[in-house]
Amino acid sequence: MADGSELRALISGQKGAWDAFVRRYAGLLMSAVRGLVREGAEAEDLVQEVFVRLCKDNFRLLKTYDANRAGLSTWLTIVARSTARDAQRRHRPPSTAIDDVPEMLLAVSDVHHEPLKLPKDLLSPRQQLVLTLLYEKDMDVADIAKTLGVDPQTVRSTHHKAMLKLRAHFAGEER
Amino acid sequence: MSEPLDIERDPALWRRWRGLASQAADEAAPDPLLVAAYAEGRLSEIAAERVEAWLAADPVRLEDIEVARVLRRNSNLAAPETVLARASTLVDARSGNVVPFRRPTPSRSSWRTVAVWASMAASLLVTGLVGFALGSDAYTSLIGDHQEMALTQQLFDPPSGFFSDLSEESNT
Repeated sequence: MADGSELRALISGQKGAWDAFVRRYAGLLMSAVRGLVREGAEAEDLVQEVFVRLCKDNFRLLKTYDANRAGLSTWLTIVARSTARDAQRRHRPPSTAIDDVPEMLLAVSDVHHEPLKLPKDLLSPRQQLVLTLLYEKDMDVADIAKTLGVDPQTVRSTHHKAMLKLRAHFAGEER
Repeated sequence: MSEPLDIERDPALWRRWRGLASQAADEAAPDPLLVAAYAEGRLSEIAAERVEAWLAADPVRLEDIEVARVLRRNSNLAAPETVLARASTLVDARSGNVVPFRRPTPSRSSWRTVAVWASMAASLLVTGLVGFALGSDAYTSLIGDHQEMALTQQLFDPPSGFFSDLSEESNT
């Protein structure tokens, strides 16, 4: 991991420090974007885009890094993944023009939709995440516990409390 | 205390809530440093809430956390030489500065600006004079008699003579 003096040299714009940084972390960035984009030129372009983001505007993004809060490799991986997802979004095929959609599909049916009545903080972020991982990602309790860095009993308890809240909420609505 | 998971009822209840919540949810991405700290398990439960709310709204991002954890343990990862060479050019060797990504707009020199304005002014002047002279010629030809022109008109209307003289000289 690059130490403080290396980072300072890097941010001050020293060419040697930049080249050392590139040599050390290019492989990590390649691995980070793997799976989100195709191998080869596309992945290489994306890594270049990450490096551009890091040194753009006189290393503005790199200056936001704080070694006391997270490891550099972890931070770089998150930045690289975020850049790759932004690129994916940009290259997503354009949506169908409204004129090309058959009129029948645009017709509004006279169906009553459930009104949006959600208490803002009904579930805590962690409760939402536990339920998402359980019911949308089909993860088991042990994996969720590992992901969240808690013990499985905490996951079960979080799930239980969340379900109590949901039951109470929807029971109150139906009354 | 917790009860066993209700495989039938709980997912349905969650999906119902999720359907409503997704209409309202619009979680902005947290700072990458906060996400990285979360991936390393450095955040308190309260600090982690911001990241967990974002993950709950967009669970695909959980892969980013997992990838970051895996790569943290692998330090020897190689990249092709082409990648290194391209990235290296982003910082200029001579000045040590970042190479600008946008082509700077060419600054127009002051003499060139003066020349442009001067030529515009000259062309306006010439156009005005020619127009005035042609108008005067038309006017005098309509009147017919040069002798009857007022003195002031002769004073302020030299171009008519200029064009008339030219035509007269060419005739002789």
